[in-house]
Amino acid sequence: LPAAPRRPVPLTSTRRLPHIVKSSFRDEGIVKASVLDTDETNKACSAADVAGKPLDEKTAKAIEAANMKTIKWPSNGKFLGSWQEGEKLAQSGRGLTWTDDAKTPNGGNCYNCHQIDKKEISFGTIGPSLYNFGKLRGVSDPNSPASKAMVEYTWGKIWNAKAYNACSNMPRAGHMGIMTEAQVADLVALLLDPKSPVNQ
Amino acid sequence: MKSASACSSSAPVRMTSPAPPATARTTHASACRILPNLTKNPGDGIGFAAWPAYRVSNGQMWGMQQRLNDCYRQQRFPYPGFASDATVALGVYLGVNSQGSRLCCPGHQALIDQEKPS
Repeated sequence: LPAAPRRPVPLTSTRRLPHIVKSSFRDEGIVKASVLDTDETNKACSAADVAGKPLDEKTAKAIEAANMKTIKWPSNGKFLGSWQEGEKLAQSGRGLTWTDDAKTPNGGNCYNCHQIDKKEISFGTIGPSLYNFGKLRGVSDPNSPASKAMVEYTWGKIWNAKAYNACSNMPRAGHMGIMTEAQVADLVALLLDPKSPVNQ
Repeated sequence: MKSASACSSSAPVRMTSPAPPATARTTHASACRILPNLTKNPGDGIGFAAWPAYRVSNGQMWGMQQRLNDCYRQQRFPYPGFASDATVALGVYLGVNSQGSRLCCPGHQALIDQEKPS
């Protein structure tokens, strides 16, 4: 008997999606198509988004724990760098596009989503305001034992936001190689240094 | 898409379409400040109804393919092939969502004026 004709997969079938994505995007400059092969965290959060309901508590906690393990703490033990450099990083949205080269220093693009220094009036509102971040949390001396937990949280949140909130929209700056250790320290200083304009 | 202008401040009477959304009179420029939600109809002259257009700081008129290309670039995506399935599907999705909204693009007003009885 002749084989039955293969029924084509409908164009709208989600089974076609991986093929459509693979065939639609290619490497260009410093960006590799493989960035679309997302990790388990992104897969679970995307699936929850599509389903229209948040992750169940157990899965969310497991994802947070897995991301917590990826956090690299400062190798020199210094959590705070320069808030002036941190402000420059927060302003910059440069880096990691196919029109950037590998030498472009990456920005943090923080203002895209957060209010930070009150003097900067162009900021996004996807994330919470970070104005007075340290002051509101009672950090008057970041080197004091009393501030230790908040200093570590701030570092960890910037390094890998999904360690604290499984499906956070915030990019995992340290974990994904967007920011270096020194840059994360500068951002922590911007938020926690009592002399930073954030805490005035 | 209706052939009436969404660009002019004195918005002409809508022909046959649902009640205008709150953003209906938002012009292209102000629509850039608050990003529209494109998973539903964003209203006249916004999103799909705003293209082709002269992109800010760019002297060339961009079609939807070029607009999507830059959208992906800024998302740090890999490069979308011209007329690739993903970009065509996304363009169609945006177009269908914008059904009933008025187009606002360069030369469109002149076209409408030409059609008006003198």
